[in-house]
Amino acid sequence: MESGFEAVYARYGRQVHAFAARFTGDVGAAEEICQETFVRYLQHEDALRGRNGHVAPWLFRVAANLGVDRLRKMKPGALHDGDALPVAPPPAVEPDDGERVRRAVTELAPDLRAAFLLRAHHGLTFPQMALVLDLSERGAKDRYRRARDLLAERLAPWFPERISHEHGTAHEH
Amino acid sequence: MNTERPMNTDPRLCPEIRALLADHLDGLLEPAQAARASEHLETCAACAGEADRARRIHAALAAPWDVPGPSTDLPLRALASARARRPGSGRVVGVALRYAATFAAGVLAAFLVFRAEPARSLPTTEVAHPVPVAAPGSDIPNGMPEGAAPTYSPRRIR
Repeated sequence: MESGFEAVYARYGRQVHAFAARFTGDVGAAEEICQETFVRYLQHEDALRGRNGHVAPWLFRVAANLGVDRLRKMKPGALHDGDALPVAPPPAVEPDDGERVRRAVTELAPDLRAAFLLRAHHGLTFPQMALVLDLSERGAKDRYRRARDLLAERLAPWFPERISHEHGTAHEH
Repeated sequence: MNTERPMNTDPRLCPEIRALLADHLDGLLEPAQAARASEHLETCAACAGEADRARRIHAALAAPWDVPGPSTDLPLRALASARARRPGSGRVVGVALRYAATFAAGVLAAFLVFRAEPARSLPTTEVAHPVPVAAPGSDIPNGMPEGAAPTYSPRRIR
């Protein structure tokens, strides 16, 4: 039963924090975003009470919006598709597959990055993603598909086998 | 006797099925499409091999990378911030006090455990991982290995 701040924080606090950290690539920003998300939860607690299925999407939506605001501060100017987070200089040693995936996700446009993380790393359903991203369910599926195809395309040279792309090359909008 | 292949094993279907593999793994196909793909993969070794490769790539993409968890006092700070923005809310104050009491009890317990621990003498023999000492004139402070990650200090929202 998702009622009361303590229960909601115990259930979603780590997830919201992890999403914010992966979305912004900045643990300090994640701390602020997570805190502010739960401040806003407290401000809207009465309205959310009894709407159990909506609490998780609501929290992720607030966190994603705060994350976009944070990215604007980190990188002034509008966040258009193809905008990437500042990427750390390549390390002296070859990155492993996990690090390559992390970098490729970080280089996705924020809308695609959010869709990919919500589905692949945080296990949201497409109807939940639709609520978070303010899209139809079909729109959420399409956005996730675009993100996934872009990642597969960009990472194909490093994987032992290439994924088939008979259905065409993915484009970021 | 009907010698015609069933539709689902028709090799002409292979390109179509392979194009759907990623969507199939992600549960993005309509039920009828998914059933058709599953049926084909059961009978077509070449496409089943492609599906295995797609599954490995899918697993690599979906493996979440580790990130540090939230600081332990984050809920307390959220409650304090909410209280500051909405003064006079008894419920928020009550929850904040419960969190504060839990946090204080933890600090007190850690202190008592620390006090109860007998003082340990430092080993006189060589330690396995000696603390590096900065060279004279170096900017690196003693005990801080070069390239060490900075200590994380959570910031407070104004």
